[in-house]
Amino acid sequence: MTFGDTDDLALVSLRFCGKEGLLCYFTTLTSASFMMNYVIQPLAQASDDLAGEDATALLKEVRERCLSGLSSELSDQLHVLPMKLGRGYAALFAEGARDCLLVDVKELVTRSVEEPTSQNVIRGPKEGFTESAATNMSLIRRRIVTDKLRFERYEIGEKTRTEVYLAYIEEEADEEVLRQVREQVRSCRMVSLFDSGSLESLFRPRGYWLFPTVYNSERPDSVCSCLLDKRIAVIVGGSPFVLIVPAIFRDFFQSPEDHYQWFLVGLFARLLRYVAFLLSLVVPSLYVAITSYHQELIPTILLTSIAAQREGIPFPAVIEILLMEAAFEILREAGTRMPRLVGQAISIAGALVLGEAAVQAGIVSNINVIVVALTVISSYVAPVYTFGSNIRIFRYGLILLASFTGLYGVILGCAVLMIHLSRMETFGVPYMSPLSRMLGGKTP
Amino acid sequence: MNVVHGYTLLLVFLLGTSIIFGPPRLAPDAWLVELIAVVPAGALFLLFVGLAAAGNGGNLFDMLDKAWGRTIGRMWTLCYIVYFLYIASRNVRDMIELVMTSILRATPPSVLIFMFVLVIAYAASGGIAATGRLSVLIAALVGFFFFALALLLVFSGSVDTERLLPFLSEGLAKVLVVPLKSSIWFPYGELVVFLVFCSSFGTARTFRRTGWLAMISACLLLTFSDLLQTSVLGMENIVFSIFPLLDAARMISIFNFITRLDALVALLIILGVLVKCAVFVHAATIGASRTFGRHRRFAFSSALLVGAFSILVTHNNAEHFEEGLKYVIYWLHIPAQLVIPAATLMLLRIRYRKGEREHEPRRLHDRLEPNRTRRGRADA
Repeated sequence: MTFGDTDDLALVSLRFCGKEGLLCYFTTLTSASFMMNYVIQPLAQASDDLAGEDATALLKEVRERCLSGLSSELSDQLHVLPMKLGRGYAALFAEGARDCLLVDVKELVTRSVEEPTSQNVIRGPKEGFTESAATNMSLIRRRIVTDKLRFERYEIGEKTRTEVYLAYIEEEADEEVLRQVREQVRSCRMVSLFDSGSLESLFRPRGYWLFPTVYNSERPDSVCSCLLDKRIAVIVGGSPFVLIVPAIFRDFFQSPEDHYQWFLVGLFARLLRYVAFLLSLVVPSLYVAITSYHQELIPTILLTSIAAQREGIPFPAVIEILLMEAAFEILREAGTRMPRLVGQAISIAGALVLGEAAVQAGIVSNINVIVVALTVISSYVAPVYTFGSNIRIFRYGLILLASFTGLYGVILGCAVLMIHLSRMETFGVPYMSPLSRMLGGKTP
Repeated sequence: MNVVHGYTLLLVFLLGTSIIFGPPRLAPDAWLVELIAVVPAGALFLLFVGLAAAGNGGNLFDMLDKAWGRTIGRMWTLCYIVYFLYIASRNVRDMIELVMTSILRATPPSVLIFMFVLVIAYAASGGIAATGRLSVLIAALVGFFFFALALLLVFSGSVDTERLLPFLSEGLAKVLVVPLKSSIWFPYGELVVFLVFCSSFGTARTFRRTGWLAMISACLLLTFSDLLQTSVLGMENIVFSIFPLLDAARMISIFNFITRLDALVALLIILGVLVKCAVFVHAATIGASRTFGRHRRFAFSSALLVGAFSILVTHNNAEHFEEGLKYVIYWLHIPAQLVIPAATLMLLRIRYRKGEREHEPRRLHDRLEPNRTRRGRADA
């Protein structure tokens, strides 16, 4: 055996139908009660009249009569055995038989279906995907009752052999996109795959990394509505985040909740998200540009108040902004990684020390704290977390441009962003299709 | 590129710089000049459409080769490349002049131009379809800010329609003549550059429809812009104004709170010039890679040329506008927009009448094609 003497390999010899048999499985991939109730007991109770002279025929009989409720197969190829055992199968050998009977006895402890943590809604279904691909597929299947829903199985990862499923609705999903996705998944070479996030780079067009082109969701309702919208979902075993391709700009501003409310409320929320996105992008750079180059654009009363606040501050506006942004970045990183119990300490340190004390110590001005706070808050409005996180890098570029060339630099930076967006295509669908969709462009 | 992208691309292209400058003040009632100009300009566009139809799906450079033969055709191609790059560099100069007067007074222009040129190269290397999508975004922005300016002008009480009077003070004849001298060549005549991309617009018929629609909408918007500028500044002042929209925007004052909206005007022209230059540079790179026979990207080098010439082209602002209004029209616009296209169309009609297809010289494109497939097979 290739497994050596690992402790969790069980080799149970038993007697059934008058023959000696050997049952071999991993105790860590199943439970004792399951084995007892569904495999060993039926085998032990099998009547002796099954006993024939041919052991292979016997195994076949046993499979059909005693273990018919479990998925099983007969195999004479010993080299698949390690892989099958690793997947939670039990192998039953009988004396005198060349074949062995492989029975799926996998029973794993999984997290139950809980409320999603990263994409919350107030109104709407509270179920979220789990780490089990089977559960996730069931969550999709029970929502879309159609004979056209397909799951295709692939395996990725030399060592982990992670199961990956493509979900789509046949005759709805675009054939060309489907072909490309299949090709990408088939040709993918990885040693290990633990989360769907590692797969995202597969579907990214070359040279365009600033915006995500893959939507990820841990909400079944959102994935199902995307499937009905002719897209393809990628379910990765072990990851509660299901990927959806192709994803375009508009998708990252939609929350499933928009459709569960009165349409005007949803529309307003969506508009608010676009505005917040713009704010998080340009507010700090506009502040730097206007206070250092274009003071005439500020109404005079406000200008004097800003000037009074900045009177005792030793830094130029750009250093001030960058200091504060860096502090917030550190705070944010600390907030996500730290154990939940010390959360209070961080928020007190952040709010009091960085906010109040920094202003009173004369390191930064009040208006600066307002600007950075507004930026940080608006960058979390996007319903998908990854969307906000990539764009942060671009924000710093804009701040630097603003400090060199003022508003001109900000406008040019935004122009570059617009050019970038309009050049992007994912799977042949222009990334900015929200604007062209209603006008006869190709729909995703 | 779908119809809407094509339409907004043409519209933004037409509005690009002229929304800031308006027609030259050769006659009073500039808005009427603008309104009338669309009629001869539409006729000129018909010439381009005729050429596109005769070109049978080829681009401008293919037509030139077909009509004039390889050598002379290539010479004209080179001339057009230079023409496109020159117009682009003039546009960059226009933009820089306005930026220097409105938002950045002390920064050296070469820095600003270098930055701008990099953005142009990026936009131009994306292809015409991406530029079309870009123009939708920019049209939305330009439209929004333009109407915001107009509304703010109205609210700040600066608009006085009495300033539009006296109407036709120098007679109708002058108003009818002026468009022929200026407006039809700029901005409408510059649509000649879209002959390079006419196959992206679909058939010649859709090209004509989209073009006319864009011209009419541009004409209405420009007329509105002129009416706005004149009713804010008055006919006497506007003659001395280099950037009438900028001067008008400076009149905005709402409770002394919203004032000095120079930045909005700068935004309008920067984005407009960006699209115009991207189109011109892209057209020039297509011509260049065709003439020099290399499948190389010329976008960056052409854009650098545009930037350099925008500094070298004239010594100062006054000379720049003088050249633009007098010499460029007679020496560049009229030949490149009217004479050569008309001659090419005539030659095409004469040489390729029905039944004389066998004389058709093989296009450069056809000659390159077999080579490419052979190389492709060898690679496989």
